[in-house]
Amino acid sequence: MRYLITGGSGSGKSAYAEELASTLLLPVYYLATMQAYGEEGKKRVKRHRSLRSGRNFHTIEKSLAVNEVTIPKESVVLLECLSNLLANEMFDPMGIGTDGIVDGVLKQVKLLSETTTHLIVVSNDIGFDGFVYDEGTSLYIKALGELHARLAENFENVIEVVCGIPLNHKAMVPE
Amino acid sequence: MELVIGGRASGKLEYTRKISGLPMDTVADGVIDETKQILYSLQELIRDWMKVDYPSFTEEEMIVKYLERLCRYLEKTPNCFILCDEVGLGVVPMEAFERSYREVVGRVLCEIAKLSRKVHRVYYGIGVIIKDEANCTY
Repeated sequence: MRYLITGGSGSGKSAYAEELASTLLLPVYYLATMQAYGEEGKKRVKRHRSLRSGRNFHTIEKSLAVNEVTIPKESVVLLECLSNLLANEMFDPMGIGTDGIVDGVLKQVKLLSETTTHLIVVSNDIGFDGFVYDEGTSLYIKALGELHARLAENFENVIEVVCGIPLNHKAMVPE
Repeated sequence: MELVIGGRASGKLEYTRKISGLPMDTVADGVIDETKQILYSLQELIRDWMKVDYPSFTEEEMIVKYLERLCRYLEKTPNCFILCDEVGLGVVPMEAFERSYREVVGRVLCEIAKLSRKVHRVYYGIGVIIKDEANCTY
């Protein structure tokens, strides 16, 4: 089963995704994509670690090419988060770059989903402020929106988290 | 207590007045007033508080402090409506204060939502009830 979970800053999307992962009764592999820059980045990583500290998750740090990880088939992969992965792949010199970025990231997610029982993809809603940004940021917003739409189409479950409340936009009951 | 959220200028105040029947003189705009049942623009209140506290306090400390202030209001005014803009749905800003502000508003709202009997999300004047529990703290 595949889940797309999105929400804005401080929406409680991570806490919800972690709770969901731990209810699936399989070992959880937490795939952290964030490159922690500076003090603030380190603090955010630290807070997310403490949120997970009570849970028995295996953490793998992978900021690019997430499909290259080795994970047992009977498992849950929690990818946190797609918005960071996209930024890394777009703007890191080692990443995909802007050409073919959406298909490139989608391919990684697809390969990842084939290696595991359940895949939970967490991502950030960023396209609702109506602001006009520079070219790079605009391309990023567009690519992330496109990724969300493609995943929402293919994934069985699509959940938006608002104030910690999950809104199920698309749900499939397991057989 | 009921929480009403939505985008900027989405019609939250008008919606709240319609469902509650409360008049305009029950609205406290961006301030805590225990004699008023509608706390409007929580996001502005938090911005004012953060202008004083940032960056001397951590996000966690600010969240705890602001929740204490809001809980004192809730104890005095349990049948209230708290209205707040959803501020975390855009591109993560370059300025550290703005990033922190969105994080603090979002996380305060998560806690307020847990305490709320109902949570309404307003889309251009149309309210969607996203939480409705008879059993709650306030």
